[in-house]
Amino acid sequence: MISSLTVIALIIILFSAGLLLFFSLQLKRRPRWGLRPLTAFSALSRAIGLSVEEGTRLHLTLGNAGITQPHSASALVGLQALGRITAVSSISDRPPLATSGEGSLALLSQSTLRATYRLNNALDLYDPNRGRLTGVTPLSYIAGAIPIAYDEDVSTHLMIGHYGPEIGLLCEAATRNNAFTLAASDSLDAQAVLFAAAQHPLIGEELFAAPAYLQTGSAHLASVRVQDILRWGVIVALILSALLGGLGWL
Amino acid sequence: MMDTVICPQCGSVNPSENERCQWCLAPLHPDQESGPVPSETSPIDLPDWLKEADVVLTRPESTEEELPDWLLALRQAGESSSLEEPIRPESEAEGFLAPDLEKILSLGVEREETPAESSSPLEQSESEPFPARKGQSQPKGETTLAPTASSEVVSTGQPEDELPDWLRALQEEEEGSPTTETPIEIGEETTPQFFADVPSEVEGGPEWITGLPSASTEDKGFEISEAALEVQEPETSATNWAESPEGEPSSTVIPPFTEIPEDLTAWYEGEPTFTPEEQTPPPTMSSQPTAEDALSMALSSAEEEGDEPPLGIPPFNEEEYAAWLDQLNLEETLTEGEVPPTTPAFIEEVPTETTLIPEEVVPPFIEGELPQWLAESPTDESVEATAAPTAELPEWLEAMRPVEAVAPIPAQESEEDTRIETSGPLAGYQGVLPGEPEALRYSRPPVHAVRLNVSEKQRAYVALLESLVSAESTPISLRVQKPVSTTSPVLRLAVTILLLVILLLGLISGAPISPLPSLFPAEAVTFATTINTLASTHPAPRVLVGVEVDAGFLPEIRTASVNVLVDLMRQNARLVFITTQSNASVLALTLAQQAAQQVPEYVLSEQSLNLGYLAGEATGLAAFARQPQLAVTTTLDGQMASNALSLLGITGLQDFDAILLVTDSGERARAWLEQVRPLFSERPLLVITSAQAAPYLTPYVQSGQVNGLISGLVGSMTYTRLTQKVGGENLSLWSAYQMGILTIALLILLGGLTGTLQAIFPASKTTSRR
Amino acid sequence: MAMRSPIATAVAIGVGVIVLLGYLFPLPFLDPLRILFLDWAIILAAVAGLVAILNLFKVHWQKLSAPRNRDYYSLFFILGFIPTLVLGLLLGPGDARIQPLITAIQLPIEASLLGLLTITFAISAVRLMATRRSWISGLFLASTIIFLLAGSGIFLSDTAPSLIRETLGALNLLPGAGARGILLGIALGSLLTGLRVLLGIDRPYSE
Repeated sequence: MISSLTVIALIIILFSAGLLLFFSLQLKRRPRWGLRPLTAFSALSRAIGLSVEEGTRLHLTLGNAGITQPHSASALVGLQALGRITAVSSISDRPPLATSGEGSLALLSQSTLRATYRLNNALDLYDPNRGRLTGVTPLSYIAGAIPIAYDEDVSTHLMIGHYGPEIGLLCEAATRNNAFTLAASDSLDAQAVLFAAAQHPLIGEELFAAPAYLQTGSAHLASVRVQDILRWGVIVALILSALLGGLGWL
Repeated sequence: MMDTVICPQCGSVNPSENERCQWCLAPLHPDQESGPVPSETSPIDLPDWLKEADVVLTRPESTEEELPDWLLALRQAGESSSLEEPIRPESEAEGFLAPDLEKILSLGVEREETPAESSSPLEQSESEPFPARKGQSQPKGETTLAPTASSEVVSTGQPEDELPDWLRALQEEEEGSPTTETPIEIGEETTPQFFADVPSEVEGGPEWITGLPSASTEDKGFEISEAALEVQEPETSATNWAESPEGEPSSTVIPPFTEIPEDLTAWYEGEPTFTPEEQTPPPTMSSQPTAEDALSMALSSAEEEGDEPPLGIPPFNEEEYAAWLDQLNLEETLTEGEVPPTTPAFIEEVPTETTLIPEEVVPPFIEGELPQWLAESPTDESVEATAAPTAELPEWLEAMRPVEAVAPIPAQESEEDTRIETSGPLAGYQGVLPGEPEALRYSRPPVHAVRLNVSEKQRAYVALLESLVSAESTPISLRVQKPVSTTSPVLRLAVTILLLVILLLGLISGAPISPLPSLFPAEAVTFATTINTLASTHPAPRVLVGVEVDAGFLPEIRTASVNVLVDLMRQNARLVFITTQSNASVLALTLAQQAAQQVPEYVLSEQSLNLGYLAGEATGLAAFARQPQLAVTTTLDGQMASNALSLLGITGLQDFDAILLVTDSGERARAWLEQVRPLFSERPLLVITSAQAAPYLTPYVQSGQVNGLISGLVGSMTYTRLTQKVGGENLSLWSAYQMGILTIALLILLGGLTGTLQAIFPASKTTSRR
Repeated sequence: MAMRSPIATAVAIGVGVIVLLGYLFPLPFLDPLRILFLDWAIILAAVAGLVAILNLFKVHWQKLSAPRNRDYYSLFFILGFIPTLVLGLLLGPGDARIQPLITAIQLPIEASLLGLLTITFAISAVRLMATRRSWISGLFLASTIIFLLAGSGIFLSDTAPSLIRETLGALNLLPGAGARGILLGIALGSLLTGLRVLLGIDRPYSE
């Protein structure tokens, strides 16, 4: 038996997919829509450049959400960012390092690193040890990542993924080492902590706009566009439901 | 017709009065030759024939009686005649081209044999950049000539006999100055078949032809290397030769067979065209741009027009060349004082540089036609005077300079020409052989200029590349990243010590700073009510206990969890523990054991079941919600899960009377609510959570998806107060918790106020620092 | 540009569509397929976890055996890893002798990390206005203070002023409302991220 919620969910999915494809194709023919400036990504570009210039390492931590978990979307965003940043900083003396708190995510990070190096004809630079699992529980994952901030000569930390409040420990370690930190998570607990602990926190769905800001492709820009449209749809739905509920029609 | 003597050297006809050949200066009567006078005596480096005349005329002891007849006659004629009278050669055989023809032939042969050595350094340097330009490759051995000679000048077809008088005079003028090797094309006009006979000579570029300042209004690709300019520098300045104390004509800086752009000839064009009436040789040429300046102008012009590929030099066409000569309407130019519009630029400079003016044509050195100044036998003083400023040079000599300026005469010519061969078949002859070995002419090896045909875009790229290369070598101060304002160790240590002291004080005192809670949240009341009324639904309620907590967060919710489990055990509940966290199964076992210790009658191993770790988190939960016996195969102690569940009377999710979720994470609780709750909608779902996850779950509580909720230490105290457990409040922990919370809130408030004051009064901060 | 790993892309899209349709439409021929694929995914994730753990051990071993700049702290990892693995395999996780490894070692360590986290949070919040002066920071700090006071239990007694209690309760709803809005935005972002994978736009699996 197909419920009304199932139909609504299917309609939303198909509508979103259609918009995504439409905008993706349209973006290839039209000039890009502008993204509102986010100082976090402007600072990130500068931090990456400085990292390459100074020969320091760039550390991207992907969280502890596996690919079978509901929070895997943030991990996928982190992988996109990892691929892009690896391509940008592939000429650095110290290639980027990716850490994660889940096994499948660690393997995916290795796969992303390998694919990026291969696409840039620098497969010899690939080192599987740079896609690393640091712990299988949230706190052990962060505890395993903290020494990297001290020992690996990291100047830029990117935290894109799903964490708990324990991510604040890594931020503190990075701050002590005078490193740049950009953090984005889909976890409310982590967002609350990162707002105070990270230098450049991303709030809310800004996490999912990260690939678009990192210029990974037109599809990600289209995704941001569709996300805006859907958000307006949710706002309209909330207002309508409130009005109808107030009128007793709902 | 006067008596003539044939020169044994060149075979030309000379008047019998001459002692030397007027063409090759070879002694016509070798046994009467008295030998040359060293040139050092003459401050002016005159041509051979003039030097010889000078020697004769400057003899102090010579008197009029001692002078030869021809010289006396010349003197007399000079007194009565004027230079303005056109002087005509007596016959075509006396034309000056005859000896030149031999020279040209010989040179042409030499240059055919050794083309690379045939040109001057400038030629070489010039010819290298233009070797068979792209798209305009020339056949090997074919020499190009000024394009205007073939393209722009229309042949008049005027026969030689129809030449006007002035042109004939001009021709005679050329005949009278053979040593200057003036590239006057008029001579060719009279003998067009000459070029037809010797095409290869033109290829080789005889000096008088190569000295031609060939130019074209179409040719803009004039390119001369700086190295070549340096080579020619001693000879290229137009003022040098004019100001030279020796009066030596310098070699032309304009290379033969070089395309001269308009810019180069512009300064010539700017000069008024000389007419016979107003033609006066300038005292010096210093007011005019020097050839070096012209070359620099041309170079700059060429650089400005560098994007245009220089035009190739068309191959020489003798017919067109002759036609061009015919078209050279010098009469019109000289009389009207302006150049025809169709006249190419380089032709405009011909009358100004070569002074093809009949009045200034140096007559052949023949009897009765000597100029007046020559007939006047100058003294030593006069010779010295002529060595002074060039402005005092005679007109005929001034007129020759431009001609010589375009002829590449070696600098050592004066010395060489005075040399007399002492041996061999040419013994006794002077100046009949090449002045000096080729190797001695130039002190520096030719430098081949390499100039690429580049466009503006390529030039921009070059500029960009240069800037990049220069920027690479320039040390740039690295932009130092702004140091992150790290927390000072003092502040960190102070906050740590303060918090520890406050917490210890609360633990030790055990006195809460506020009364115990008497007002309870609705979800907590529902939670406690549901837990304690489960026995009413079933004598042995079956409760699914999900433990989704990390070890570090367990202490916060341990009290509440244990108290709830105790209440459930007291109701003889069948507890089934399951977790999606790898180490939480052990934590669940620990909680159960701690609770069972408070309920001795409860047999944990028989009345409870620990299913252990469920892989896949949300996915595993979904599978478990659908088919629990298939999703979990074994229990924590290794039993078959299906059998153990059957013993408890559980075959599906609907067999449970309640679900109790113990978690520290809102996301994990959401997984239960999304995957399990839809299949368990009619039974209560209760949540024990940490304080951090409570805000996350509040919407689910308000929507009814969560029936009851207690969170953190407050939830534990609330549940304890609701269930009236004596001694279960744990006042020490409650006191420390409250004191710690208030301390942190106070610190944050102070920190915020300090930061705000710093933002409001930044100047005071700066002043205090100073 | 040629598509990277077309077979993997086709498999990913096909499996994703089947699972999605099976979730939305639990038809008899779709549901078993969906469960099968999910089981495979769980097994693969478990194996991936095992491989990643072995990789973690390898990294620490290399750090310890590096010719220079050896990380001797890795020795503690190895010393803790090998006994736990051996005992867990031999005794099982339910054995009473395994529990102390978690309750007596892991739990205190993580609890101490959380205590450290508390101090870190406090210091970060104290210095927030000094490092990032904005009205949002001020709002964040005000919300934090309200949440702390409301969650302290001080105002849960009858003696507490009702006005303060009600005011704090009302103000404490605002962060909840904001959190709900954030969750909605995150849900939309997750939806589109999943769609990108489903449409083959994002292919983290391809090399």
